[in-house]
Amino acid sequence: MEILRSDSNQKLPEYQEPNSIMTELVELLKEVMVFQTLGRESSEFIDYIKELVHFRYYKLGDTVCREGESAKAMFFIIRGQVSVISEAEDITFAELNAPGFFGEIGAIFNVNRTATVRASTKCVLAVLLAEHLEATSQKYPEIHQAIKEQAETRFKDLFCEMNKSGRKLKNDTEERYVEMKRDISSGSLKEFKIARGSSRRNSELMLPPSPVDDHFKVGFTSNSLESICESGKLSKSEDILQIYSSKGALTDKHFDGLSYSVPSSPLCSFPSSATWDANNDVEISEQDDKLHKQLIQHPPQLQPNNTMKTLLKHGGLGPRRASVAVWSDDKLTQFAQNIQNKIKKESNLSTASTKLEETTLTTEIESNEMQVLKLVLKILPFQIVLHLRLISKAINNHIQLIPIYDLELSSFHKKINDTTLSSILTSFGTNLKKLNLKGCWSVTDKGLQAIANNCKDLQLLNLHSCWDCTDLGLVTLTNSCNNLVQVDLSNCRKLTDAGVLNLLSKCFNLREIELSYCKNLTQKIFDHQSWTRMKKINLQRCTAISDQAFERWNKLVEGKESSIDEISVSEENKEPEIRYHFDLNDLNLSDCSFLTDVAIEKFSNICPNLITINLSFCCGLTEKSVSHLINFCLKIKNFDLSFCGNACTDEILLAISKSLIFLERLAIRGN
Amino acid sequence: MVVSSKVILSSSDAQSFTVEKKVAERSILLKNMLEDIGDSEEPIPLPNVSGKVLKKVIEYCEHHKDDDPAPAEEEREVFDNARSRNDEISEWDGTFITCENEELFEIILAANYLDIKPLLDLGCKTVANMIRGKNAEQIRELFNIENDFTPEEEEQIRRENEWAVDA
Repeated sequence: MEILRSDSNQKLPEYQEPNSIMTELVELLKEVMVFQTLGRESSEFIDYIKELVHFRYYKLGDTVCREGESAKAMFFIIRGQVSVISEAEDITFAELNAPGFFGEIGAIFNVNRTATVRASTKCVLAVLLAEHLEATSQKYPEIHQAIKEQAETRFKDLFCEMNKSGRKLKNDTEERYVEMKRDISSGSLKEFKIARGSSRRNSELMLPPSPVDDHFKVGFTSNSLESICESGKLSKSEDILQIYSSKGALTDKHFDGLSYSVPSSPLCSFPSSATWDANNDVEISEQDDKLHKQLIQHPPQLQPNNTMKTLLKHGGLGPRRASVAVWSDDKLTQFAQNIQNKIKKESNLSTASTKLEETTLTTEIESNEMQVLKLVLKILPFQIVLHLRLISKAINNHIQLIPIYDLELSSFHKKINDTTLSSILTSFGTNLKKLNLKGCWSVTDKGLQAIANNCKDLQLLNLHSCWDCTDLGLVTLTNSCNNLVQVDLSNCRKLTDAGVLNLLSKCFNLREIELSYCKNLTQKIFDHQSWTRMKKINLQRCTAISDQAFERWNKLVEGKESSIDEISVSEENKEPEIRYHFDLNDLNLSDCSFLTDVAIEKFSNICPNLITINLSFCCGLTEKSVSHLINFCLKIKNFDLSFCGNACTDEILLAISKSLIFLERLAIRGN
Repeated sequence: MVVSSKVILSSSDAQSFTVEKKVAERSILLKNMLEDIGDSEEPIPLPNVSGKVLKKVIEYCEHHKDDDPAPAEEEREVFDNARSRNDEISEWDGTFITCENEELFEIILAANYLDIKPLLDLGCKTVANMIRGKNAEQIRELFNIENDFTPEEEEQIRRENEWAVDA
């Protein structure tokens, strides 16, 4: 826990104790409106974030954040009041008091700050970084949803206020908000991150080739497309309509009109200026249940074997398609309404079902057995699925099209070599997010090349004990697989600094890195900025690493804390790259027997979020460094001090028991 | 409009079944349809489901009418295609699903068509258990599929799969 002050001379007696502020935080968070209704999930959420937030103190008139700056965090008001104002400071959108929060629009939708926030009294704020907030979305979906809803409401209000006074949000904030919102709603945030790099102008590049047999096809003509655009007014419909490019018939010009003009309007009831001039048919794939149902009753254009069911299944199973989606656009609502009316007029249930039957008859009829087998394939383990390739050509072809996300090959480690790996990945690698090759020691750089060629989306990679891999292979791999989040390179003993440096440079999302037994690594790699972002680092028995490594770490963030005191605390928003401390939660330095007290002292004051630390067999340490560590890293839960001779004394154990209030596990074997 | 809690379902062979709305709504397809058309006295035609199978499906839905709704697709199928899902089958379900293969397959397809996820899962798990431990020829027999590979092609796939034969 840290308290950063904008004015170091200010006396703050009531906020000095981290524990008391923590208690206050918990109490206040409980009172925040969105959390009150959510019961148990909310108390778990509060428990979770209380370990992640840090506190900021602002005096009257301090700017907390400024419109247009990039948003890295959201804020909970612990004490005091803030004003939410326009950049020119002439409109006041809101006054917020404790308990409350703000900054969630920027943090949750990853857009720049939509307003300026200024402290209107002395304030204490708890800061939750955007990445931590994002991490809560899976664990605490209801909370996340509640915050998101709040963000949406506020954004709409703000947007209307701005429009009343004839102003626009800075840059492309509004556009990006709409894009982000779209992607969060359709649940493909990961994919979106990849696509975000491409500009709106290139939007057709984001559209993957859409295999016709994969989704529901409706033969819309250019006329109907125009009517989507030209009919209707705006409402608050929740309909989401996805429109896929049909073999390039729809150019980026069309999508320009879509993503640029249409989505912006629903926010404040402006008529859309978009017009479409699609000349060809497009495929429309629909995510909203209501329209689904309408379409299922309107089957003449149904393609073979592609009932809505298939579409639904693919929605959950297949890779999510990047898409142009339109929210709340009442033209689309109108469109849906038109279809509905048409169906009510033209067809009743019995005619609809007759049509369905006719369609089925005209298609290639697949045997019941085949259909069942395809359904069952979805739940069979990969090994059995492979076995089923032998059944028939049709099955084999079908199997090769099933997207595989997670491949666990470590249980076949003796049989995996470069050739087998390459053949597996050629067939099944495209969609992989997780690949475990632990102990596949026959895999060499050629195997890594195959990973690089086939698995661009890989996020988790375990190469534990693939000990013939060298820097060359790792560089090829990391140049191609930029989305890695977790990498285990333990016991890849041939690796040197060059390979690991490339990993750190190319994989911006990397958060966990295991390098145990990589004895060639030296302190030279430790001045890479990426270390500050890591959550978990394992350096067990990296015996070539000395104290200097941690001096380099220290230099990465050194002086940053004092400099923010002088300038303004909001500086962080302008310079997202500058970090004041490491995010590290888990550090393993077991067996690094050459480390001395200096090493521990150098990292302990820059890693305030350490939860798990392993110093076992670090025989060079004394109680001096341990005492330093426990003064700075107050969040430690798991502490391994086994076989640390000189460091583990009665006095130090007493100090640990007093200082580490979250401690759950302490190992002191062999002392 | 008269509030009615009954729904009439009509099978492909024109048999009619009157069921509680709650029971019919175990099927997401029917649930969505009922939401759209509102309450209606008209029987709902299900041209893909025979009376015999529809009777079984209704039996299942009756038994499970008070279950919690299935969680959303998204939550379950992150990363892995739900391969690690719980494989346990309750006693009632086990007895229910014990039937001739042909009927079992028809139930699975009906569950798929009607979008009754738990019943689809139950059927698929049952078939998956039948597949485990069988060789290719036995599986072909089970699914009435002909082997259209040449011996060379078959050998090629065997080679490619070699690594995955029990470690």
